[in-house]
Amino acid sequence: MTDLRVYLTGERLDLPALNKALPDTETVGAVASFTGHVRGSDGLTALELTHHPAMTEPALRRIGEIALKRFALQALLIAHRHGRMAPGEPIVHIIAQAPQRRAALDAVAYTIDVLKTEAPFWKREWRSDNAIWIEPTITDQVEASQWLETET
Amino acid sequence: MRIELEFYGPIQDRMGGARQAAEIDGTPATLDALVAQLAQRLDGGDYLQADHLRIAVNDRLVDRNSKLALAEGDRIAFLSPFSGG
Repeated sequence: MTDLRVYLTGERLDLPALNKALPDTETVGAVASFTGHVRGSDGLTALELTHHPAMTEPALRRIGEIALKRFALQALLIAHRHGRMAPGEPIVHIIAQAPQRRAALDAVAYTIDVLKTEAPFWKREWRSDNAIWIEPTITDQVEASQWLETET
Repeated sequence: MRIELEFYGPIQDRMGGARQAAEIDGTPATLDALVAQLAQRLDGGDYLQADHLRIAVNDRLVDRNSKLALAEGDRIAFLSPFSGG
């Protein structure tokens, strides 16, 4: 039995509530998680994430379904913000449950690496009234491609 | 035929907004043919031919050499490289 939860929201992510969202069963041997936050630096006042109204949630779900199968997970949660966020606010939260630690850890790495380049989100950094778009970095592309090239 | 164009991400700044309508001639047989026509017609349209853009037709990603069967009012979205997480 596998369990995929995908949350796409314009509200602040409630990390304690999300951490309790997946069922606690005796067969779970490992739980791994990743949380990405807005990094405050160089006078950043806000990070704005826009998304595609129809394509983003299905893309997250597709990434999650592949991760569930590829790493033989018991459960996976992907929660992603959109909208305007202040420095320090969580942007994305991922939790993987598996019988063994390696699967849980790899699934979290896979999900965040692939999500960065395969889910339709776009970032803008705001400093006072000035905004600049943030393009994906070469590192983002390399880290995603290491998983995607071996996808079956 | 009139279609709707949508621009997501940094491409919005190049194209002057998130949406615009476009009139096209005939029925382009492939996405590439449609993009070539738009490139000629729109201000800044050359940029639409950039390889790094992904394109969706009515919210479905489509390969550039895919065959098209456009209808009045179809939505063509040009998507800048994604940067989530």
